[in-house]
Amino acid sequence: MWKGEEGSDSSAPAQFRASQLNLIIQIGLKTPIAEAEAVFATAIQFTQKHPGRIIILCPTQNPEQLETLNGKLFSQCYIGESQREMCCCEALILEYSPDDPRSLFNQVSIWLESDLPVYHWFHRIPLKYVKNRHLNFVKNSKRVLFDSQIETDDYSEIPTPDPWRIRDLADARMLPVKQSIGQILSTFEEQAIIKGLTGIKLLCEAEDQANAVQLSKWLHVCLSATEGYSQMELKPGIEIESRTDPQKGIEVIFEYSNDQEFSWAMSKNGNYAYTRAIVGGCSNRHCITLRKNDPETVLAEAIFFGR
Amino acid sequence: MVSSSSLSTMSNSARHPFLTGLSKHRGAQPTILVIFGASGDLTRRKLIPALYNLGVDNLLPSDFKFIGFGRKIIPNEKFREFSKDSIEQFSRRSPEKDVWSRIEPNIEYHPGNYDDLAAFEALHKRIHDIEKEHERQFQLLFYISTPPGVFEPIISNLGASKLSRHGQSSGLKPKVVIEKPFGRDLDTAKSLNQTIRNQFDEDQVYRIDHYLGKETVQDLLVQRFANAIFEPIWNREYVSSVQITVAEQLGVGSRAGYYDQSGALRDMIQNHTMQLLSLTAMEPPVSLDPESIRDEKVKVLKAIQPLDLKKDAGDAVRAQYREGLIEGKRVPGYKEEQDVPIGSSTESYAALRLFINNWRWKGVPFYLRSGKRMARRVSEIAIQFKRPPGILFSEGDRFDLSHNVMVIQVQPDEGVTLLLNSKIPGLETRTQPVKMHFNYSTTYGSNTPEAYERLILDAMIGDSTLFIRGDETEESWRIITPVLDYWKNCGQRGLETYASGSWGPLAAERLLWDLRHEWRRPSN
Repeated sequence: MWKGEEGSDSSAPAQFRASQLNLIIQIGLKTPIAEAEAVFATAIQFTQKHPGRIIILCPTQNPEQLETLNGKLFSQCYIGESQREMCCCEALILEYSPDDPRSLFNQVSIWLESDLPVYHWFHRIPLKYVKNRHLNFVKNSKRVLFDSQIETDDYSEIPTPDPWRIRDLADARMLPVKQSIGQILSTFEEQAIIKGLTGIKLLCEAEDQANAVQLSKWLHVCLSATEGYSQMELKPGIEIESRTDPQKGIEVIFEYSNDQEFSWAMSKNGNYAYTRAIVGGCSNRHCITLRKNDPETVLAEAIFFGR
Repeated sequence: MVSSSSLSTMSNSARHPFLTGLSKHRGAQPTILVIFGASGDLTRRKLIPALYNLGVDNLLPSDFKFIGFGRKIIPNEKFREFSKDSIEQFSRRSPEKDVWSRIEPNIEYHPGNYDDLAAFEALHKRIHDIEKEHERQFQLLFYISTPPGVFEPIISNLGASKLSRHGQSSGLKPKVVIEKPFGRDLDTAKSLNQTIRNQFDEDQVYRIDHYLGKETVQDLLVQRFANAIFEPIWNREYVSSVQITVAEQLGVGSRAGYYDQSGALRDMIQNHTMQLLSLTAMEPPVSLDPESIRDEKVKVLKAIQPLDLKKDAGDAVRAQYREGLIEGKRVPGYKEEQDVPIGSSTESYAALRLFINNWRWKGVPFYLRSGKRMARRVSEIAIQFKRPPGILFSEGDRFDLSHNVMVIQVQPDEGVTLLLNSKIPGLETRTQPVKMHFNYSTTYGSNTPEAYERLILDAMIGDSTLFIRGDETEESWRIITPVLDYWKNCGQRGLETYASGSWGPLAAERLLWDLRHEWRRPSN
């Protein structure tokens, strides 16, 4: 099917059933159908680049009628332009009773691909259920994922000796923003950035609040690592304010007591960022193209990177 | 103008605080990349697609400009079309409109001769203009992708035009990436290094060997040092021999004019094969920082003993391909190829037997071979282990015991294979070799970056791990140059031939006979 050209990689197709991880996605009872489908689609897209076994746990609406664990198998083969781009992914969709979590962990364990890491994504599972019923999943997963843009509970409260294993998709989603801000600010001397800095304001729509929280945490870490910051008498605070602006998404404003300025504002569609800087005697303005990561890339970032 | 005091100096060990939490590959400084040889084959097939894919992955710096520099006069629009075509033809991922629309406006072309200082001064002025437009300073990355004959004028003119010192006062030292071949022998390599040192510091220089950008080559250090099971047996007590093969099916084609000046020893063995050897044989570095790794590579090259060049029993064999069959089609021999001079004694195949005089490898032969028009295209490292003591399973008619072999396949089908002996199912105990195989594409999917993507990005962020240091390239030439000189003096004497589509000349088998080894025949 893919006859190679002379000198190209024309060896015969090898086995295509790749697998490098297990991904368990646990969907909560209050998840709207469209949202569940979006999560499922994200997982399938993700495994096209990172082949793995997906297990999706869907709570039944009628637990009294569920006598056994029901399951469906979804299988899809992705065929690209060359033999190297063919891979197949499988998703096992299990219907379970939220009232009977005891057998769930054992039942799921037999479906996992052995010796490969397990990642667990809680989607609209109340934190109290995670703590009381599903800690086994937490203990046996290399990372636990949640999305603070959706969840109202603070998943960082999950008891675990390794808090860094709990990863927020909102944090991963902010990677292009952090990269954009970081690339610009890293061209200025660090002490110049904090000279006269009185505060940082993050402005956003209400729906972006969780993303802004992650961004503020990152900015705080960066400030703390800046030479001279610890000696500042009045440490600049970081505030998040809700606002509605037809032109802008998230906006970051550094406030100074001197003539310095720094601002970074995302366009409404997220494709551009407008920056303005007067820092350390240097003045510039930019319109930078931003490329938001698609959901499967965000998932990959949360699973494989960061600490 | 941008204030020079507004820029921070970044070293590998002291990252800017506002890059906290971002991998080093996400912190590339604003960069102007100037490619010399912009309309050439390498730029078209590899470099531009690599830039595009970096753009897809959001890894290009927030401010990025690409300037093609070449002798032809090409309008900017035409050069952008050329770039777009190259992406459409050669990118590993299909072109996306929004990614291209971001990159396209930042591409321009600057015509000029490589020996024309005025052209370089005009380039410098253009760079100043770009910085003024953007009100910021850019890191300059010069990529020399030209025939080797113009390396020195380009480097000299980068110095004379002060491009090599642009931005230095603000901590953004320009960098220069140089493609192989790096010299023709030890003297020319030293001379080139000196020319470079006159204009650039060593930490500004990135000598590229694209093999180092391949995933399996990078994986070699992980395989060796991230797994406890290999290092204890990676030495003369357990290893019988190491074979490194870089074989091509292609002939010289339209490149005979260049190739005939070079030959297999210069074209492949001095660089790619020696890199594979040094990574296979080096001692564990004290850390993963670039200098620690490169120190160990240089150390092992220094321990390679000079080759014995006796005519019939020496350590080197050379040959030219003659006509034969490649994939069922008849192909001409080297001497019948277009532009090959009559009476050419250039080798299209070379094989060496090397010994490393250190505690780890004393007495273990390293067999290196590379050639064109061989049976298949393959690059691999095969570590053959000694047989177990003949206590159990020693009856040859019942037990077909193979050497354990670990094969690291660099291309195609990157992966690792381990050959073990196993029992054949049945009532009797009989053995047979079996393969345990790990294949990159079927384990990780198809998302592995191309070598040049990794290398260009590493040059941008200042990570020199996958580039070759000046002393490293000189050590490699120290080993190879006496062979070149000897062959040059011999002329046609000792030049063997081999049929196209074969694994090389019979004379190459002689290198392995003494120790009762055999050349591998790598299969799919």
